Amino acid sequence: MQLKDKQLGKRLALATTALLGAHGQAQAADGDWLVSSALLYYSESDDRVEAVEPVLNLRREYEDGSALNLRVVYDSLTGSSPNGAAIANVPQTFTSASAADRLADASAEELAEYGSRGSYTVAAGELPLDPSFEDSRGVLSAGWTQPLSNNYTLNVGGSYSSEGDFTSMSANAAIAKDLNNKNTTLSLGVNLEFDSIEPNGGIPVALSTYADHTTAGSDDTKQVVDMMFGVTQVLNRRWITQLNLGFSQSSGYQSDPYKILTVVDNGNLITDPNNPDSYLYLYENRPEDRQKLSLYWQNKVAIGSEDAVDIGYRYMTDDWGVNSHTLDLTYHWQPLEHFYLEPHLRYYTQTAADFYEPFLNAGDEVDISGSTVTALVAEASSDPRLAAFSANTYGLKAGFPLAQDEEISIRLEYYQQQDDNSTKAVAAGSNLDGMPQFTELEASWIQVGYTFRW
Amino acid sequence: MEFQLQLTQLDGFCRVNYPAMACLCELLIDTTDAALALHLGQQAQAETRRIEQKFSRYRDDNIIARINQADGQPLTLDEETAGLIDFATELWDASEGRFDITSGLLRHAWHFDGSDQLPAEADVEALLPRIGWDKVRWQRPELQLPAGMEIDLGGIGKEYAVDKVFALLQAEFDGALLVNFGGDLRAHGPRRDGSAWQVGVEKVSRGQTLELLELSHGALATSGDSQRYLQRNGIRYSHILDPRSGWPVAEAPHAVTVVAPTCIQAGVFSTLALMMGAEAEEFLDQQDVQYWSVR
Repeated sequence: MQLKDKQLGKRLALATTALLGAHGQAQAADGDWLVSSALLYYSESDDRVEAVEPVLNLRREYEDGSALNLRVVYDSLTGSSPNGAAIANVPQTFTSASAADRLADASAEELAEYGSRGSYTVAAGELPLDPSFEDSRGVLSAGWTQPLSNNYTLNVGGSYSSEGDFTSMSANAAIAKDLNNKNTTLSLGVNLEFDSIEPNGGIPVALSTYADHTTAGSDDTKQVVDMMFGVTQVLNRRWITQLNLGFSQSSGYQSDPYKILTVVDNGNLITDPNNPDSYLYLYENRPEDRQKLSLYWQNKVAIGSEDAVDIGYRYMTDDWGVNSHTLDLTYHWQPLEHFYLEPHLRYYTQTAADFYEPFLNAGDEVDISGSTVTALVAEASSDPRLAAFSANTYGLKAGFPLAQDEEISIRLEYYQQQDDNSTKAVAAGSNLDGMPQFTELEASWIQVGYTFRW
Repeated sequence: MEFQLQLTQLDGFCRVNYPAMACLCELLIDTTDAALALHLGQQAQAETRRIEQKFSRYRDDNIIARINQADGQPLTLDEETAGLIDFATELWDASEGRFDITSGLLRHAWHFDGSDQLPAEADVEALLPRIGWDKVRWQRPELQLPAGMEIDLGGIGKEYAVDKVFALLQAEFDGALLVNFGGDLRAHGPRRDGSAWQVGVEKVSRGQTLELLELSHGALATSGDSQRYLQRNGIRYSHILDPRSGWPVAEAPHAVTVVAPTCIQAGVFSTLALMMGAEAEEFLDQQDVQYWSVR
């Protein structure tokens, strides 16, 4: 009988290097970079967002065990994004305040280019999408790992990200301690993030009317503090398990300045009392504080000589009423030395935020007295990311390890949402009757990666 | 009186011999500087003796003795010993249990003296509960052997010593050299005159001539059963025992010699090949290594 494991020679070579050191063996010299590069193309169904994202990760390890990690990401997003208004059985015309603001001092050429986007009309039965969604984002992050005495390891890092109307800066630090002959690792980390937003057209007043576009200043900020406690335990030669507990507190401006809600009267669109050309929409508003608690449990189990399974579960709960469960399963199947496949399955489900509303009702949620429109709810948002839904992700990655530290990979993922919201009642025969209140998102992405030493 | 160390000046290079590890150790050093050769030879000899004393099963004052006499108590191992145990563990796993440093106990049942005295099956059976790396708790650097079990690093010890001595010499001498411990050897070349070291591959079986091989880089190790076997009713029982059954591997080649980058790799390949019995050559073909087998 032969060995089932055809990789004996490779394992023997590695074990020999571990035993004898690197005499005469090819090994990365101190001081060269491990470069991981990837290009991601993301596409949502129905002409929604498309994104192209190149990623470059550089890692350099030093003899004392310390390491420097640099990461550059650039996103280029184009397409249309839901503006938050409900689907109705009549056409709806929106005059984008952000576009109007951009056009105020635009040149003739720009006007020709953007003119059609200053206002846009959505056909009856169609999801209102703002076509002026076009943005690019750059992220630069750096991290340093430093082994200390007594089996402590320190990680410090920082990140800066910028896009047209949004800037984010963060700093993080974590300390880890290996115990029990490195079979147990305890870690404690903290991340501080400071965001500032300067929307096109300023910060809209919470729950004010879309057509008026009253602003409360031109910019606002948000601060986030994350804390993480983790335990990693080697259970045996084949099984490693990790448990993380996270707490996050964010405060400041959390709303989406471009998102609006439709106001209806018994399911019928209402003409804005101050703007006869527009139906009545209100800018959304979210609470200024959010606290999240999350629990993450991950298991990696080696199967046979080359295969491995990775099973993760995450539970997240917050004081906005969003509770989510994620189950993630990846199998690493390596039939050949230079080829592996990784099927990936993910199931996600969440409850809706307490203030999620697909639209607002005149009367009990919005009071309209003459030309005065007053929201009777303190917060409301129709952002589908705050709705109740579940989602399945199916993925497959093919990897071609060419040599140690050199690999080409390609990954395909497909994502499909399912609506889990209860339908908000509308009158029979009204504008919203029979219209979907939540549009299930479908997206797919492809990523090509190349890792090498430089 | 046994000799300790012999330095011979040859045509363009030096040879150092010293007895250790139950064989005559030989170093070939591509230098005409006898003082340098002597200095290197003495260092090599000291390192060889250190390894032999530390890991020999035949002593009662070393780490192997302490492990084997721990009587079920956990022991904390030093870095070097832990490295060897890690290596043995990986090999045990990669070989699906064929390579097992706890299999030495089988010598209590098997005496390969060329006679026809096979052990009673019950005697072999009785040993099996005390054999098997899966029964050992190893969490580096802590080793806990169940009481009654023993380990023996003899299966990799000599090859390990060749690689360690080779590394030691190479750190001080950047010319061509060859370390040969009774046929398990490692070379670095080529020599200053451009030639490779001439290595004799010992044909273990009867009446075969020595094959000369030119080796300028790499290592070579031989496993075989020429002197150690039992013969009964026409069946030859090799001393290659399968630790999973406690019985000899059937139809193993008499000897296998393998070329690999390091001596320990060559030794593992040749040992495992013998354990593959009739399929030894097929196994070696799959591993894509250069080898000679004698049947």
